[in-house]
Amino acid sequence: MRFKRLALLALFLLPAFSMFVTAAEVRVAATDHKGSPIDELVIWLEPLDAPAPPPTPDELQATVEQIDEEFDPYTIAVRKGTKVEFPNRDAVQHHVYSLSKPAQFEIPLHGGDETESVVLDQPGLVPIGCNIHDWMLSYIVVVDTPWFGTSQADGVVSVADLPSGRYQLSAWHPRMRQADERTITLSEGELNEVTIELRLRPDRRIRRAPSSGGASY
Amino acid sequence: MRGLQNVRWLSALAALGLTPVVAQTWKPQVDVGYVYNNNVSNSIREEQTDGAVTARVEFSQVRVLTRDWQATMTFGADTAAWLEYSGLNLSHLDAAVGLRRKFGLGPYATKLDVRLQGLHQIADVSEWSGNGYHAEISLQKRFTPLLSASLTGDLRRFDAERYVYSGTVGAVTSAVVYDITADWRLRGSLRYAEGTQLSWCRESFPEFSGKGPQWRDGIFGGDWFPYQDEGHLRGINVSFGRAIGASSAVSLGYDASESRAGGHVYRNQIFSLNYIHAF
Repeated sequence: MRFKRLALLALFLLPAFSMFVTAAEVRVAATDHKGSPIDELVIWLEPLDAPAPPPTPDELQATVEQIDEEFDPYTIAVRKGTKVEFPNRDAVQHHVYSLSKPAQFEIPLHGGDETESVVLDQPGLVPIGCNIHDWMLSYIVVVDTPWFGTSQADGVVSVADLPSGRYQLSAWHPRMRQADERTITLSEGELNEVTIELRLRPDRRIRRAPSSGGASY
Repeated sequence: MRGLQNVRWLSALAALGLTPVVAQTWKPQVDVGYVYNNNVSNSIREEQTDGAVTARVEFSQVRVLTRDWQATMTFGADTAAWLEYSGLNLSHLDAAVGLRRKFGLGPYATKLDVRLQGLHQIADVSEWSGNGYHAEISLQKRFTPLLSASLTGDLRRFDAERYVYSGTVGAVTSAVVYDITADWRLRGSLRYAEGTQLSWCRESFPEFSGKGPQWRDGIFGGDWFPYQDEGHLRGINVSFGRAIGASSAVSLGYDASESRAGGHVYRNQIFSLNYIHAF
């Protein structure tokens, strides 16, 4: 009887245990052609051998702040179906919009401490702007996979808890014309290190600094 | 004495800008610089040259009315202290209201700005003090994140305590702004103006000495007198600016103009260096 109980418990724990054992981690280090680390690079991994697991409710929440008349973060990846909140931390009003193909929306004139949100249910690139402050810009990459991340100043981004197998690794930055794509195979229980060298275009954003003879608005 | 009064006015205004209450709702901006003018007397001969230290502080507030309409209020003060000819020192207190219409969404939508400014001028030569207004309409278009252009029409009217300093000038200016890099900006503009122009001349110049009653303001010496004429002006301006972070910039400007009035040609070149900081 006791043996039977133990066997039953083992049967329940086995999948969880095997998941823990077989989970892989990928660490991407990205540099430009001059060897400088790439900050704010978005990467995502799409499984090639099995469908991506369905999202959990916690995955479908993200925030893009408006603070000091800038969007924060500048780049972000979210899963398809994510509700993205746009809290305004400034004393001035903002008017958030996107004219992108995956999501066309406007969040009209909201003031300080007001939070508005949009559900992004189509994968693709969604550039966000403010109709009042032309220099404000953010990029939301909507992906259909739970495995994504954004690099820090050291150019490194890590994604954990991936089942072993083959993946398409995609990397995108606002200074790239199109995403860099490559197939990688992740091994069980290992840290898989991937080094990417990308050619970035010059940073061509609308200048915010004031000019002589007028305010920057 | 009047110069001291100007400094007090400006100090009071600057102090106001430092109070947190004002800073919360108004956006202050300061602009300090140096300007050199190779014909500060605006003469056709015996041109006088001088340089000035300039300063301007302004507080502006943008009110977003709808998606496409914005209103702007600006209060400002500026002063110029000329190194050699202190009689040219002018200070202004001004207030302006503006209305912006944006034709569409995003940074590439065309913008139409209308602005009306009233100003009070305080001059070292008290007869040059007075009141004026400046009305401006401007069409702006951005073509890429780096390139934008504008076409501006403006009308200036100034009424001084003495008539010779008064006048009306209408102008059209077309400008192109190109950001060479993320930090460096090149701006070029062409200007055509018509209206009153103020010049100074020596008594010994017979062609002008017979022009009406002469009043000597003493700015350039005992035998110089101001006079005005109607004419037109063509000018070109080029400036290089460098951003210092998101809130500051320095710019180096060159302005050349040629005006024709009463059959005479007046030429003027101005070099300027400015530092601008938006709080």
